[in-house]
Amino acid sequence: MHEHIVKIKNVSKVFVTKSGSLELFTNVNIEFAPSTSYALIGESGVGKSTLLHIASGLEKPSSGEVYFGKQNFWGLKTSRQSLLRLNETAIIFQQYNLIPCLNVKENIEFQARINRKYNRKYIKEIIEDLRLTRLLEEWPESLSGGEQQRVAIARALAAKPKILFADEPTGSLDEKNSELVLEMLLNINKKYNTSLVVITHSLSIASKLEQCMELKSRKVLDR
Amino acid sequence: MKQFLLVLKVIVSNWKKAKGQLIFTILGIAIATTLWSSIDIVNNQTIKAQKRSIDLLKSAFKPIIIDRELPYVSQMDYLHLRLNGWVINPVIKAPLEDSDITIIGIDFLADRNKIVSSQNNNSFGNFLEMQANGNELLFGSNETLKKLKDRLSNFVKIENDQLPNGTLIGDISSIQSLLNMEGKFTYFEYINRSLNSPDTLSPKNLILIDDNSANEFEFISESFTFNIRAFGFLSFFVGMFIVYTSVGMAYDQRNLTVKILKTIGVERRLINVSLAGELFLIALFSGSLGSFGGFLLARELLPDINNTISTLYNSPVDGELDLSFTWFLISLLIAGLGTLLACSRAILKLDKLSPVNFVDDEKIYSRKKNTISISALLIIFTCASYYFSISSSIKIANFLFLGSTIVISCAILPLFIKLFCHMPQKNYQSALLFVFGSSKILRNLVHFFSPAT
Repeated sequence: MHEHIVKIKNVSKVFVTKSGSLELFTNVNIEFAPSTSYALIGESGVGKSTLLHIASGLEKPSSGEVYFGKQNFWGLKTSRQSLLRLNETAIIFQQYNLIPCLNVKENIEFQARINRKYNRKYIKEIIEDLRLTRLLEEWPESLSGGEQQRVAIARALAAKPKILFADEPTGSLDEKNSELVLEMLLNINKKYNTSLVVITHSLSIASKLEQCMELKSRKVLDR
Repeated sequence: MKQFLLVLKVIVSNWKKAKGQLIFTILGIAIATTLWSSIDIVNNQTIKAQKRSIDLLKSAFKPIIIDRELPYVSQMDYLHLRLNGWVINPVIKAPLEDSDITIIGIDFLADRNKIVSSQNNNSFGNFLEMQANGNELLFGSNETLKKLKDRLSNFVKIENDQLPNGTLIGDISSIQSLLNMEGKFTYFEYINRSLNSPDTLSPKNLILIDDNSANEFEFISESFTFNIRAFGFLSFFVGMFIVYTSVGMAYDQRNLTVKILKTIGVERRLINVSLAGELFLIALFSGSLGSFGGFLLARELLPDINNTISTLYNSPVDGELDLSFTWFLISLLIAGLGTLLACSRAILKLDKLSPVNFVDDEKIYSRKKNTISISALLIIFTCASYYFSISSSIKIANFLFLGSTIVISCAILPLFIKLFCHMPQKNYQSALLFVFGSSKILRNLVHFFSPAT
């Protein structure tokens, strides 16, 4: 019986440039268990975002395997890969990645509608909790950074993923909003047994999550 | 299906932010289709006219003599030939206005076999007598004469069922005055010539056409319509270049949307099908618009083309356009295929787009360098071909100059479209208002089509 949602096994990432190759990390092994929250910390440029992309199936590792449950992700057909990402994961990006031609409401509902997990009552709850009610008809471009981040978080939560990856989700928020968002993420983590993987610079945020890992000297270390 | 519609909605919604490109895309496809479909429809009419001409040449049975440049041969030509020992019969042949009847004028005395069989000399004598008494005779089958109803009432109509349906034969002088072609004939039928007559036709403008010549004429005519069609394709190509540019820019702007769809986990195939669906809708709309434009343009051009073709083939094109559902479908198909071709690069680029962005600056730089080198070579080539086209007798230089000018125009076009689409909103609106005036409705339209800031 597998007890992980996502497992990365002996994963390495090397970037090849004209001036030579750059090894970001090597032989990384992590298992993300259900209902658990993880913090991934590390200095800028060590490859935290790349590791998150690899764990979420967005980027192929140079070597090693990524498992979604029992399935070797990169051994699957691309259509199956997309389906797994759509149904089991959601990602909150540093740059928000909101669809510019959809309004706030449409952005929040989009992934949930596509993966057929749309639940109006649940989405309404998220919208109220993230204080987005008055922004629903707005376009992403007219929102502040913090508002856009909250919309991105709402979209990810509305899709009811098994595992939620968040790349610096509170990076552009003030302290009050950061608290609110973190509380919301942790609440979802417990309420829906959603695993949570958060990249952060903030040790205070990391301390509120169940497990903390540090990417340092091309290795992932437990803290 | 629901997923497809959701993704399609997202894809189509992108145009909200790129109204300028949408206008250029629709206009590009519509103009290209208009050019192509109008040329196609006019070409079809021309082919019909040619066919009638070729049928005329082939149905003459005997070799004929025609003028190289004019749609008729003259009385003077007849005299020259006869004096030089050429035995010929003058014939005048033309369609009867507003009917599908061909009227032929012959010399009854020289060409009696066309109206009576050789055994029936008695009746021929009667006809000559009637003619001598001032009656103008017109021979035709029962069916053809019925079609005439009350027309040509000054002629005595004589039924002759040996004549093919749709053909009337009369005395050449009567037909000349009927058609206002006094002193002119359509062609001379060549019978033979005396032994001491010169080998070549004395008026240099005349040409003897036998069966082989008719085939040659058919070949030249086909080549002519082929060239017209090629011109149509060239126009279509230029229109599609507008589409290529505007779609390329619009699709560059949707990189972010497609990347987000991919990160969310929307299947690549679904995104591509939605992009194709969007293009299908645009092509359908613009193609229909273009076909309608093509019809209007062809209708405007038809009178002038009629004049030219009448002179060229001795056979006018039909006054009414032959519209068919097949023609409309072909126009739409051409619009669809052209759009797909013009957009294929942009779609492939989006298909290959990685959800995690890595910009290869070096590649972009080398692509820019290549474009600059090719443009510089093209400009040098155009200047050289222009120099040769005016300073030498190399005929192909004109063609090369025209071709390279078109290619250069196509290469420069994106710059103008980009300038227009990236113009600040205020200037953009002023430019449109300057062009379209300042009525309230137009003001609202300009506001609607202005790119969002």
